[in-house]
Amino acid sequence: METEYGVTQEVRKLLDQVVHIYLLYLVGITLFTDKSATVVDVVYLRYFRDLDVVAGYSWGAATLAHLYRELNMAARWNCSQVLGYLTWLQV
Amino acid sequence: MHDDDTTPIMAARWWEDRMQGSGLGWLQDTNYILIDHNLICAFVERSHEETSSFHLLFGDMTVILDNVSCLLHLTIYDMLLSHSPITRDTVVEWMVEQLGSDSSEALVDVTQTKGVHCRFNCLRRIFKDRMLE
Repeated sequence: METEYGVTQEVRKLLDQVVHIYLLYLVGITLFTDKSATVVDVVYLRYFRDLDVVAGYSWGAATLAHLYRELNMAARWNCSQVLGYLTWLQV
Repeated sequence: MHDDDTTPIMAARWWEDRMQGSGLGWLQDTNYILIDHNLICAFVERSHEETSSFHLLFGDMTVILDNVSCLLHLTIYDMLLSHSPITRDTVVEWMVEQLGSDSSEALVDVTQTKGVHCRFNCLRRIFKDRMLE
């Protein structure tokens, strides 16, 4: 699409911003959920800065670490999606 | 740009490429509808802090990296995510630069959430704004 329509620098920046927003939202509602379920930690934006290398990060390891930490923090509800998914396989 | 009938298809394909390229695209297929609260409760009760494993009748079980990659299709190799805590100023800066949000809005959001967080409502709003542009 970009090459075909000769997308300008400005439009490309907007498109990137849209992808950034969506990815941050996606990560916020799935991997790194928050207790209140309404906010997301902006720190993950740093990994989306260059969209080409996002896949180069070890999201799986981070998810597992997050899961362990949350489990240790006693009976909290966040991250339960991941927990459910992971455990179903093992059972 | 909108005269062509194939534009929506091209846009959808572009979006899909971006999602898969980020390696997080699979997350779109997961959701919270299927959660069994009793099951989760049971697992939380049986989790053991030091070993991060679950104590079950037939033995101990633990969640390993392979399970993450199998079930969520996330990469478990390459660079690790490592970051130190960031300040509110940095957050505002990033939000303006990468999300294209208004600096005053970003500041209000950061102050209201009492930390380096961003509300989903805010994200949704600027997402909509970007779409309109």
